[in-house]
Amino acid sequence: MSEIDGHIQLKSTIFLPSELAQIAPDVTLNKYINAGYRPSLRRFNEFKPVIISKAGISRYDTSINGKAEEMNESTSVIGSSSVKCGETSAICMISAGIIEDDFEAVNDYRTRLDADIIVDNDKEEIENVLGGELLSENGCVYPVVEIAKGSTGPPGDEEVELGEKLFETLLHSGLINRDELKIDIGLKSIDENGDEVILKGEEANIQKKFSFVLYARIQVFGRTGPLFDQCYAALIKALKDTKLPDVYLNERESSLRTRTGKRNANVNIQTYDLVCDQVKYRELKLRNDRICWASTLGIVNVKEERHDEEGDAEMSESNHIGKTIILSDLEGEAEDNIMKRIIALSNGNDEFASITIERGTGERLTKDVIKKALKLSQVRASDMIKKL
Amino acid sequence: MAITSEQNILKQVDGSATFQIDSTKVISSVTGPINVIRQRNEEPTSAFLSICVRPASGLPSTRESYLETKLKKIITPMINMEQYASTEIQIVVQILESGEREQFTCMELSCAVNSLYLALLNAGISLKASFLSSFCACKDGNIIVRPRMNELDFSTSHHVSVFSIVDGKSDELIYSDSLGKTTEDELFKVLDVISNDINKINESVRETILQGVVNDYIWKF
Amino acid sequence: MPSTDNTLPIPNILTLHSLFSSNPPLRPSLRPLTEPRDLKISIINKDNGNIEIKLGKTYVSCKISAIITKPFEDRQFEGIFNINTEITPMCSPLFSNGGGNDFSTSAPAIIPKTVISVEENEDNGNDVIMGGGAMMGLGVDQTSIEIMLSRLIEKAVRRSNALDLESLCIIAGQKCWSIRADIKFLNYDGNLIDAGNLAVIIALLNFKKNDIEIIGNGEGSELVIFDENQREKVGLSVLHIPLSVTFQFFSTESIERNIKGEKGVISRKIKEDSDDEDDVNDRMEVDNDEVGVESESRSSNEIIIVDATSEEELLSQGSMTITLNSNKEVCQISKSGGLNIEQGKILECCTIASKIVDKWTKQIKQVLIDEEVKNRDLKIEKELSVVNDRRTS
Repeated sequence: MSEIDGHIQLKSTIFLPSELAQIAPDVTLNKYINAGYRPSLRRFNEFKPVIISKAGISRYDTSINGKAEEMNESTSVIGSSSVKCGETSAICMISAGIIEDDFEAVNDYRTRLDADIIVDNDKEEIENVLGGELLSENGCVYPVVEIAKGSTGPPGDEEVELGEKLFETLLHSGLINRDELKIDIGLKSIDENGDEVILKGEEANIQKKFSFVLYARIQVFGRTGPLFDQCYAALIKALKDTKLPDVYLNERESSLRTRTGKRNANVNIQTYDLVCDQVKYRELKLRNDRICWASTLGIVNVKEERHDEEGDAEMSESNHIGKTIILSDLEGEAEDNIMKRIIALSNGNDEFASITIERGTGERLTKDVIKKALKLSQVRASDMIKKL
Repeated sequence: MAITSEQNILKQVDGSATFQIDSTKVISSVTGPINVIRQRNEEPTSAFLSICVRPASGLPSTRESYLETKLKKIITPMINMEQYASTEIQIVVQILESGEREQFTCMELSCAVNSLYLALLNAGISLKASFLSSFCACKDGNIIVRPRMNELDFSTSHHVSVFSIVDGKSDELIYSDSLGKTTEDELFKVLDVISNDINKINESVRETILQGVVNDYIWKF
Repeated sequence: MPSTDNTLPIPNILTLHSLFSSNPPLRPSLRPLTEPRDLKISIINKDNGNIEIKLGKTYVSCKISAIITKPFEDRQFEGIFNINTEITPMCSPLFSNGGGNDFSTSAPAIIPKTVISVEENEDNGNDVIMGGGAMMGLGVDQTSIEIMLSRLIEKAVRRSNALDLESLCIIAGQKCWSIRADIKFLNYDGNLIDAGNLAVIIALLNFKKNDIEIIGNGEGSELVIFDENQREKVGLSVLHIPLSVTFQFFSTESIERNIKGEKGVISRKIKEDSDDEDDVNDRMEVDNDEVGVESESRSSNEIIIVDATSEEELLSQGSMTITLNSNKEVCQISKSGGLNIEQGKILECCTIASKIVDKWTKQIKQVLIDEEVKNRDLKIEKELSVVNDRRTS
């Protein structure tokens, strides 16, 4: 450009709000909040509506027509749910595997201990050996989260984080009693009359112990706001819906094979033929007091604009402490960038299953803000848990 | 419970430190600022943190990946990232002794944060504030600071927190993660307890840093 | 590509070269050519075999873990032993991160194995995760060299049957111990092979697993694991102690001259105006000298050193690893490419290696004895417990 006339004219560039949100998310957010609104035009502590429903695709679900006989026999899904919140929907499917308790137990030192060796007054020690409450009582689900992004490939950091966080919170919250997952295994046999019977408990005399392992597969479509809340809700809903099949051992098939190995040693290989009943099932019982609702709350510090008195006045009425505002159900480009977050899983009854506080950058995080956020999450939880 | 830490143990990296609480031992290394290794990670206005956590035994899994994510959230606000625009700070955290069951991560996380703090100092990376971390477990209203493995197993909830340190005292909450059945009261009690415990840890850590500076000081008179 | 900003100081390489070219050849540290650096062994946790060793500035940690699993279908009378080596940028910024974390699914890692799921293809005997990085002098293909490192350790320890796999079997075809060694390279200053090998062996010798007993027999048998408070832990059955010694070869001649006799009868020889490496005005001529004569005249130019530092490795033109035990038995020899050396030299190397192995073996045994003495005092009240000395040294 020629600078002959000695001065340069500066033009102000005008961006569309959506563009500005990408370029300078903090500026956009500040502008909105000073005006008393959020980019989504919701109020600061206004939550988005959530639609929670059974997906009805699991094995023991009767078909939609209401005919009891028609089951989804071909599927291995034993519990399902769908959660829709704004533009994001999450579908959760629960499936199960069976493990031989033995292996797991052995490595956790939870196996039967030899009574002769331990003296009576060593009770404490036994407890130590047996592993804590957590491992012996809390069962868990192994979730896999997939965010539909139109391409295949290894899971991204976000998916791994979601999966692990779900796993961790669920395990430690003690939602599932481990005993619930144990299988009361029956023996399928033929009685004198030639009819098929299923023997249980003492009669069956089965030494091996088996239990279920639950897997959850959560598929997320759309990506607005923190997905954890929706994934957690979907998982809980699906678990409530989960029906565990009756399992029995097929007598004829369970055989003891003997294979002769080298050096005259014999190997006994016992194979089990475990059969899951097509029709019979039991419901998976959850500990009701541990059912929680997750709320991810963002915290923003507002930079007041000197000339904008109107906006300031409006804010003092709304939900904020000093210059700090708590935003619920974060959504959109500008709000995604809020690093100061509190994620609280409340059961709506003054108890929490997990609280994560991330300070991020900016102003100090005060006790008052944390208290306020926890309160907000409780209110939300007591409202939402009913809907689960 | 003994806390031991040491700075500047590795020679090829810019900064390194070990940190041990009881039976959990972690070694961290920091290299940087260096050129960004993968071009797509380059950020024009701030440094790129590449954090890599390796387990004590076995191959790294999603558990370690989750630890990486957590560490990134804790460390990022503590570093003056804009000072190292379009460079990379390479962080490796190697767990040497886990000291807890694989269902937990609190001991590893806490020790990793502490060792990383020492390693970052050793590497001369500009920090916004000092920070340290501690953890505790709760059972029946009792708070056990820095529990052992079986105390952790029997707890109803456990908490990890990171505080910044100003004037030798724990100051501001940076990060807190609570798992298990807990209440609001318990959380605030725990935060107070951890904040006090961090003051204790700080005494030992200061000793290490002093020793580190003495060892590094080559122009002795 | 890893940035090489803060890696090895290049000027030192030139110094190094001139030192090697001197007569007699010298190492920068003035350490004799065939003497290894000081080996420091520290036992971090005696029971789970967590040890750290320092070979000069090379710093390696190794940890052993044991779990009970089902043996492989085709090896029902044997336990499982895996060695896992991993190099991270912690070791040196020369190495990049081991391929990042690409998991096949985002499922949590601690999923228990199901019994009725489809048989997993478990035969991944070589659990090797390696990043890229230049090492061992010839930084031609980074990953292949790193895989070579882990293979070498694997060959030296696992394939030489240092660990008695049959003793790990609990119930044939059903239960066995699976032993896993995780080698972590913490600081790189050359010779990762020997250091890694030493670390695994020392860790295996130190490791103690929980005592077990099978109660009852037949179908109703039950496996009981005893806590260390109930029964003394038992060591592994380590049959012998194979140790690797890596040699680095240098030649003061130019690269072209080192190739003795190409495929044809006619060998190429480069006439040089001087011995100076920097002289670029080399002329090439076809020479009809007989191969034998030529190698004879050249052999004196080869310098063989043991336990090279990182600088020495960077300059090295070839390497060879010999694994021996204290009975002077060769367990493994590996020389892949690099500088060609005369066959007779290998025997010479074996003699040198044998001396080093003897020295290291003695040191390892001493550490074990010291450790034993320390533990005896602590656990004197446990004298009543059943102790079966199942270790073989």
